[in-house]
Amino acid sequence: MAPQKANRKQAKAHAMKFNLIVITNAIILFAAAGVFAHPLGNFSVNQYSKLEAGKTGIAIRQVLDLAEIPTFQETPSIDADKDGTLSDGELRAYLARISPAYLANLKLWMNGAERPIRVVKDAILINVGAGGLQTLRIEWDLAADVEPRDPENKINFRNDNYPERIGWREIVVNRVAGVEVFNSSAFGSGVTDELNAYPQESLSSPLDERAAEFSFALGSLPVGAKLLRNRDGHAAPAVQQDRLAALISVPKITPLIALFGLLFAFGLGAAHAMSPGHGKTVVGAYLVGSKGTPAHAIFLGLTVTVTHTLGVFALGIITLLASNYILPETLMPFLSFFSGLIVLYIGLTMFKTRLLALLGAAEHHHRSHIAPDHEHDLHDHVPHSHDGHSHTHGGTTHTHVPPENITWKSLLALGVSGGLLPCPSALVLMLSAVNLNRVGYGLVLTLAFSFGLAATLTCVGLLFLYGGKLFDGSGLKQNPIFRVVPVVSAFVIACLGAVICYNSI
Amino acid sequence: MKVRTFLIILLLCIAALGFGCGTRSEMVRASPSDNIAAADTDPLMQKAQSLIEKSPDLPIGYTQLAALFAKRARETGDFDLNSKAETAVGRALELDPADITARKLQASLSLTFHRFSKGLELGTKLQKDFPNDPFVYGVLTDANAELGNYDQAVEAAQKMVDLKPSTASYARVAHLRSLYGDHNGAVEMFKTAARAADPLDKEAQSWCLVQLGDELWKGGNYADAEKVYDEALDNLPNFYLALAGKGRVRAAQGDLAGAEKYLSDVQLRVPNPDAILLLAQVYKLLGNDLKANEQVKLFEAIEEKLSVIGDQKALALFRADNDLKLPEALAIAEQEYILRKDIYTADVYAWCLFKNGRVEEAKKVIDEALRLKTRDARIMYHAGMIDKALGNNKSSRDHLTAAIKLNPAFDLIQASKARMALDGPAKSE
Repeated sequence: MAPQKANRKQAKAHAMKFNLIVITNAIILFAAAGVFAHPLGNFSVNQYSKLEAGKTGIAIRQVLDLAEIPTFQETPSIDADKDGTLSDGELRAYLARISPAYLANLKLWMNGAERPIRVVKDAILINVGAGGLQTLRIEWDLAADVEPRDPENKINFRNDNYPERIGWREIVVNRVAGVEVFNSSAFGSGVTDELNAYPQESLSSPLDERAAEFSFALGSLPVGAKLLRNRDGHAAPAVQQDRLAALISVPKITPLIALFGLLFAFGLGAAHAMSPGHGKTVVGAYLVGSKGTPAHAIFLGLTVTVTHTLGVFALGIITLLASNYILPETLMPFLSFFSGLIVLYIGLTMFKTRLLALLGAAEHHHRSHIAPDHEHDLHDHVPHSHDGHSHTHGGTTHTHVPPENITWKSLLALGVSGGLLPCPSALVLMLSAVNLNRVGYGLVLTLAFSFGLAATLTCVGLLFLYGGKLFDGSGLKQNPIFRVVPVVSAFVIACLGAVICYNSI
Repeated sequence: MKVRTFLIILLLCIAALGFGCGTRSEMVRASPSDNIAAADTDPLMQKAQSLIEKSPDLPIGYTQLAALFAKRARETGDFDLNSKAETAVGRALELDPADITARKLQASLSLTFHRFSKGLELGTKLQKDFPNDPFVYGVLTDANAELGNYDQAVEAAQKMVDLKPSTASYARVAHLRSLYGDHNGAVEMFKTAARAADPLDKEAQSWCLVQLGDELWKGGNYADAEKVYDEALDNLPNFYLALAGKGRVRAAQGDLAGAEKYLSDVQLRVPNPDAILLLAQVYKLLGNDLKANEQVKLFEAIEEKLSVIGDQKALALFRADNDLKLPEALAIAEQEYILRKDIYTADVYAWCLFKNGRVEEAKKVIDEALRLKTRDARIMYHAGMIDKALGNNKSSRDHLTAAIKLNPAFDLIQASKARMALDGPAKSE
């Protein structure tokens, strides 16, 4: 029976190859490399629906996965020319033939009124399963145009296809950012990665989710609404529309498209840095209390770029090499925790220094200011520690309160912490690039994205710097309250670090 | 200086990534999919799963779950649920290799997966440790019957029914009576078994009714068989075995349209090789060669590509019946005959020998298949054809007449061949 075994191996290899070729959305790749096996044996008909509540309607991802025997049963009606092989044309024709009836059995109501579902995109593909037999997979991207009205839009969804057939039935509900989903009978997370990886050793019954209902609203949740939960009980996050990853999957890369892609990636990075959690506050808080210069701000930006790019590459490589064992989503919290730790450390160190300096300075104030010498002693190993002095107010030293200088070391650490956590969309971009054999272009796009990210952070740093200089001229700095600001800002940095750590757990 | 600092930070990053990897693999082992348990709709399943959650170190939750999965597999025909049952039993045995429930389930699942020798071995060990447990004798009965050790099977069944008269023991007695040619006794006993079933246990009751129906069909009592299948369907709607039984009855009665309806229905639920072949015959008789051919191809695909070596008797029989790839059919049957000596395996092996022209050997083996005097029309037909080839005309006529009298539609195509064979020699000699 050795030849048969070899065949099976080959078949498995084929199946994996297929997965790699066919799946353009890289997130799927993480789990798809596993062996293709149905939880319910080779006569199952498995179905998956993901309903994503958006601002203008519901997007539905529908997947139909026929195991070996049902595929075999369908084969005669696909193979129109009876040559024993299923050509692309035959598959498309088959899809066109069965789609209307299949989709008619998908029903969606909003507030009790049935809404039509239209096809946006569809795909049909053949995989190789057990015994060298084929399996059939059909994917539809569907849309139901529903205008959400406040305060509540109730959606009911039902899949009446293959009611008698044994099979895995999974329904997932999702939302884009800015839309809230609540009181949902379905979960916010899936189990099988869109029927690409079925749980093998699970002791749970196969899922049998044939219907779902939920409500959604733009903006805020109504009082008493039950949040959308993932299967593990955690709140389900909104789906970020990934425009960055879309850049890589253009049909053809012309120089113009490449240029546009680079600019767009840069812009996305810049815009992305404006979203919460990119250390803008940290950067600002750091630079405002310190004698920062544009050079510092730019150095910070560069560090973020390099770290972020390296981080994306490292995580991308790990994902590709170890996709069977780890999911990048699982790594994110650790990176986040680590970068939070760095921030916390910097914050605490600064807080200590500044607080001591403030207390010391208060004394020095009365004892005719000898602080700069102290500073010099403390930081003489840092050659640029005096760079920041801009004595616009008449050569007195007492205005440099607290008398603390930026060190390149702490700047570096700050930059690393800002760039350490790769943005998921950059990671998706990188993996899409690998998937599409466009690694080079993917690298460049990632770099552009990172530069965009860094540019925003640098600008924020510069804004704080020049903003601070305005204060310098106004005489506000003489105000005792203002002298406390750097101490408070150091404290804020430490708190932010702690919050990042906490959130990541 | 700067470079060194940067390197240190880089190393820390890598360490952080490595930390992530390690934790992930821990998480994989803790299998987050078990969290889906909450989504289970069957309250008994939920109970077992929450039992596992509460006391993950006790085998009881796992064995309860295993029993439920195995039961659901019987109900729905979804064979893969048996694998889940086996996984659960495996976990229970890891926790406590001596757990009696887990050991019993392990033995019975071995039989489900047609690992009969393994089942017999496990059952024998269990018998040593628990000589008064009726379940153990059920395992021993089934394993011995499947392997052709009929004396031991009878002995175990007797012990079982002595220890505990119940649906399980009655059904085994009935099965053995049927094998020993006591058709009426078997019918009575299957009725008793169905009556004794826990009214809440729909699956057990329906299963007994289907066995009863099958026995009635074997005796050519089609109308009563259909009534019993209907009862099973009332009890457990869409029970695939009862649907297949109805399809077979309709085909035997000549209601081909009705047969097609029921068999296609089975096809959509649980494509079962016997039902597929019968549907192929129905299509052929309806004149739809194209559809008949599709069914035959489906049958072959399932048997050749998806079934296990040593468990392809149906394929060998199909090929021998249709004079296709005869040497291969014989090889398959021979392989299976080496593994088990039950009468049905002997029957198929004899039939394949006969079709390959090895009539003398076929005679020897078919006599083994007849050793219990089982009233099975197919075996009788094969015996009659072999005798005919050997020139034992009296014996041949007796066998063929008995086969047709017993179950005139035991096989839609082969039964007419039996009739032709009967008419042929009678006229010519």
